[in-house]
Amino acid sequence: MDTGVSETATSPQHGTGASFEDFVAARSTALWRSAFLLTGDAQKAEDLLQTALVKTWRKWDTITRHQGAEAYVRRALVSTYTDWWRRRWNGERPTGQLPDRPDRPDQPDVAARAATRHDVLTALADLPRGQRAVLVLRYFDDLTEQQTADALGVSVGTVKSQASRATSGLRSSPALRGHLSEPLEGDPS
Amino acid sequence: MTDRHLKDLLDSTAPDQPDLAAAARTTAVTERARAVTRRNRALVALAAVAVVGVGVAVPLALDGGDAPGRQQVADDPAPEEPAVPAPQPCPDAPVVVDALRPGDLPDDAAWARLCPATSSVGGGADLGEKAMGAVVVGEEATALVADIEALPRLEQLAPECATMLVQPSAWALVVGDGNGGTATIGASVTACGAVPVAGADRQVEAILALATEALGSHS
Repeated sequence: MDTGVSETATSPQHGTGASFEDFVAARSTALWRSAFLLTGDAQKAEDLLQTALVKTWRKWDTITRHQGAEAYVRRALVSTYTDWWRRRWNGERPTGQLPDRPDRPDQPDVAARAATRHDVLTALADLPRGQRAVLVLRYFDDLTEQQTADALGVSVGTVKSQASRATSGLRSSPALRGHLSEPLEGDPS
Repeated sequence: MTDRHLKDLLDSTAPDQPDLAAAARTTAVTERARAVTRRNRALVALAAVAVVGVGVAVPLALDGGDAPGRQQVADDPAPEEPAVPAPQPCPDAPVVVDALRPGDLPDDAAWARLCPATSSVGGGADLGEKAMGAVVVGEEATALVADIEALPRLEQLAPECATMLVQPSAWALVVGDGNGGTATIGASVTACGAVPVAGADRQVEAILALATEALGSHS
């Protein structure tokens, strides 16, 4: 996993926030993309990321002393994400329509990507939160099983079983039928 | 579909760039964080003022109804923000650490203190009067919890633990959250043991070192 400046941004400059700012500048786009896959919504992703970064800012000295900043932020990101779900803080309501529908026939690339996004988000929305988090951390963020387990505060065995169920769920999703031309790795079917 | 295919699918799903530039996000985050810090400090100060106010107002009220400024105090508007919960005393009876269940410590820890403890295999640890009598509040409590949660996961006990005879000596760390609730961690030993915190085992010695360091500097 690319840890960016998190390896070097270790100077405890909480007062000035300089190292923290370097970290945000270098890594926040990648973190936002992960947050987008977790939430399926750009605005919620921004809110989720900022909430995680606020937690990080407040403990910056401690975090940089004991562990990589990025590992802490990812953990804060997924724990906040599951916390929102538990408490329904974000006022989430089920909706039958996801954003970015393929409505740009004049631009085939844009339309194709929008269609893919819509279909993947539809499939992800059907997964339980834990499976969705494992999927994003393992396959999008390229974390190892151990790193994923650490981020989620679960065992490696749980990560393996959640990942297996998540990939099975995607494979059986009607929304992804047109995108899955080959069987999923490790899937017996 | 291979792992690579799945990654590509997820990669094409996430937009390349967020609407907000990184610099703007940094500003937003630091402003939010500083606002939270300011609010927490204000709440601590408000709680202190309230305690002093009660200390002054109660004797005056008991002294009679003609104390100057009494009406003015009564008419002051109530604070909009709830006060930070005051640290609770340790339980009357020692904490039985065998009965503790693994759980998370609160992210918004308002206070923390070591309390007398016991276990089915022995009595309580002697951690020193200074550490046992102290309490950390506000950001110091939050930082203590963060330090404990930031400890590395304990994969296995030190090899010498297999041959050592560890004297049972129970201890308990009680942490209060912003809503008046508490969470407790502890163990029946002060060495060669593990304590589950935030989903992972942490070394007993390391937790106690952090707690006694934080609490030992207070009285």
